[in-house]
Amino acid sequence: MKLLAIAAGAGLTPRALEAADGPARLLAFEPLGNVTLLHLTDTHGTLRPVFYREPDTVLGVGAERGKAPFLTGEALLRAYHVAPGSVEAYAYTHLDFPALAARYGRMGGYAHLATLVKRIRAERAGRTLVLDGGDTLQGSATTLWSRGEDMVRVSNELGVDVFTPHWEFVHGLERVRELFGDRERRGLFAGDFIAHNVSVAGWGDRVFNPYTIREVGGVRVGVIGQAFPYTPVSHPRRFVPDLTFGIREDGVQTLVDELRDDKHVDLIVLLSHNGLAVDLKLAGRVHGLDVVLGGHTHDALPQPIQVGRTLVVNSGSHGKFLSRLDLDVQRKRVAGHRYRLLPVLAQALPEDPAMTELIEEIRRPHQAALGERLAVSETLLYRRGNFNGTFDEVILDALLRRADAQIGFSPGFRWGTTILPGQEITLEDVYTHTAVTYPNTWVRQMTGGEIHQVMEDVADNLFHPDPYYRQGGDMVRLGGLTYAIDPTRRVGRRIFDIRVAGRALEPGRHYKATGWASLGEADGPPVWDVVAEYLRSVGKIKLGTRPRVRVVASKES
Amino acid sequence: MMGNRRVSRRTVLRTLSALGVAVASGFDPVTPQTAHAQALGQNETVEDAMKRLFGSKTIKDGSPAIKLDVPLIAENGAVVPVSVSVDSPMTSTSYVRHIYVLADKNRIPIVTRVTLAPEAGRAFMGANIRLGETGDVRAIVEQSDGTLLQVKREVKVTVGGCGG
Repeated sequence: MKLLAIAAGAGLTPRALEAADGPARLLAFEPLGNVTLLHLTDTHGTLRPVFYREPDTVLGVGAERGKAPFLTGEALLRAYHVAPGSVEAYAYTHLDFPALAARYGRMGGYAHLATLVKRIRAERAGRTLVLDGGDTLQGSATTLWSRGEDMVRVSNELGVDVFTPHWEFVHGLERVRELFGDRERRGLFAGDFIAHNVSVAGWGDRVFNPYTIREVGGVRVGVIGQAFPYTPVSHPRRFVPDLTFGIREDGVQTLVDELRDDKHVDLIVLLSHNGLAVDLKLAGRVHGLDVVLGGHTHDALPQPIQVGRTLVVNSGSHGKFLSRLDLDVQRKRVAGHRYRLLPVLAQALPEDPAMTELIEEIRRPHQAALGERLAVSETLLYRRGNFNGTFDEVILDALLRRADAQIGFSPGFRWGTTILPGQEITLEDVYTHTAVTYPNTWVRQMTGGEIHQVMEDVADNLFHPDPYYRQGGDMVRLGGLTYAIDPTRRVGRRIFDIRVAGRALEPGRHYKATGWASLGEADGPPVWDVVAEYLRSVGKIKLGTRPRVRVVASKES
Repeated sequence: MMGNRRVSRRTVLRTLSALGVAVASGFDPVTPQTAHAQALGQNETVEDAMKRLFGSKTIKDGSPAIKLDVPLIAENGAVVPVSVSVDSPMTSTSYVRHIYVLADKNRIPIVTRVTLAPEAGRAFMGANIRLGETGDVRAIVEQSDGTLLQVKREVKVTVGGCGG
């Protein structure tokens, strides 16, 4: 019954399901209409298959509470009629992760993705577009060291047609221009790089093309690029000193009208790095968008959310999934659609030989260094979730010990792969949790008041009732203290009962604090060195239960 | 409570002149209403500022007519671009006389007042303002018949940092 519900969504007949309840079932898709959109996003430099545990806690506030994408674990299984223990349960949730990971194996990897993309392209020749929502050029040692070049090369090999950015900008505007071009010239990237909401501050001139028009299956498809709107406040300003971003809802509407009325486009797609809650709001306020292909918040959304006539898709992260959206476009309208968030299960998809060769070429010079085994973990280590993950705890332990500090800060990034109990932690794994272009650690005195204020500020970037004001990732990870949070309260009142080593945080007292990835200047050693040194020295990781955060949800509005 | 803060315009003008500060176009001395200037350098709340500017006059919701364009999250609190445009006739009998911009949480909430004449042709102003912390930014429009209209929007000034 539960399987049938999923199969119906994918256009599979019950008979086909009986015949193929193995890996083939996972990828089965009965084609529909004249256009196939393939979307991947937030791969974070993940060249090879990985374990990535989906979050156990993602809280929505107000009307969002308890609805997708603010659903995790059992609630998600119930909402989408997914059987516990199934491969979908493994792909979409954190439940029983170590056991299911052992059963179903790693996910993603560009060689496996390439096989899947090539298969679909062959099946849907001339009808397929491949779109990447960005956060591709960050998250691994090789993409850090090649300043993004490795990921552009694999994206070209994958055949990415359209791209919109976020983390790409941490390589600096000039590097982005070299790799992706701008309005005047092309870069290394073979597809179209689009971002309507990136312009020169003061003048307002767009740096990149705002959209591209591609004809597939006899349909003129207009794709508007929506870069991450809050890039300048999310990373050190020095990477994009003269650029201004923003959601620019009016700008989207103007472009939609231009594409429809002047360019005679049949289908309008927003390739977005807004984050899902922002996309849902935007889709309700801009008229004429047929499809939003979104990323940033890493939501593995099993089915699109329909807002008016707009289908809003989100495709997870780390290459775990490839979204396939088949559309029947008739007389400038979507007459029908079929969707599947295809799990890229490495064991169900052979590696594409050309891509494998390219990945090996990229990795060969670094393989020995990255393969260094630093420690063994007896604990499941992961980052993703609204509050401290276990890998964050390890990073914080390393920082606190090195600085001999009382309080540690680690950013609430959504990227970072998962280590299973018994698995070795390699240097490469450390980079998958730390590879940023501003890795320096810092140590300084902070008052209790300042600490509280930072926590409130970050919490507001996550739990502001209006998604347009949510600039942040997950909650900043804290070491050395415990706290309670009520996400439903307003800024300044969400965080309470902060305790440092069991004693109430005193607003006027000074505490020795440490952290990394500062937006200002920091001159301590890069965080990967601190964490690697720590792991080498301890040799084994075993974390006890750490009741770090108490979540309280009141009804106060 | 605020009686001792209130200073008549004449007192202020005298003070300004004594300090050698020319009264420039910003606050023109022929404003018809009973405005009370604040003492120099003195901080006030936005409520006090509004009372001083508009007394007890009703301020209507201006959301259909006024377009306040300001970032939702400031990219740099020290330079926040704001523009206000008003859908209004600009004729000698009916026009927008003033556009005020207020930042609720700034120590001195009145950021600017722009005086317009029908000859301007359209009711528009733009400026870069400074915001010390997260709070509402208001645009208040005074029409030639004395009607006051207001829109406001929260602008967040964050320490930043990311996820993604």
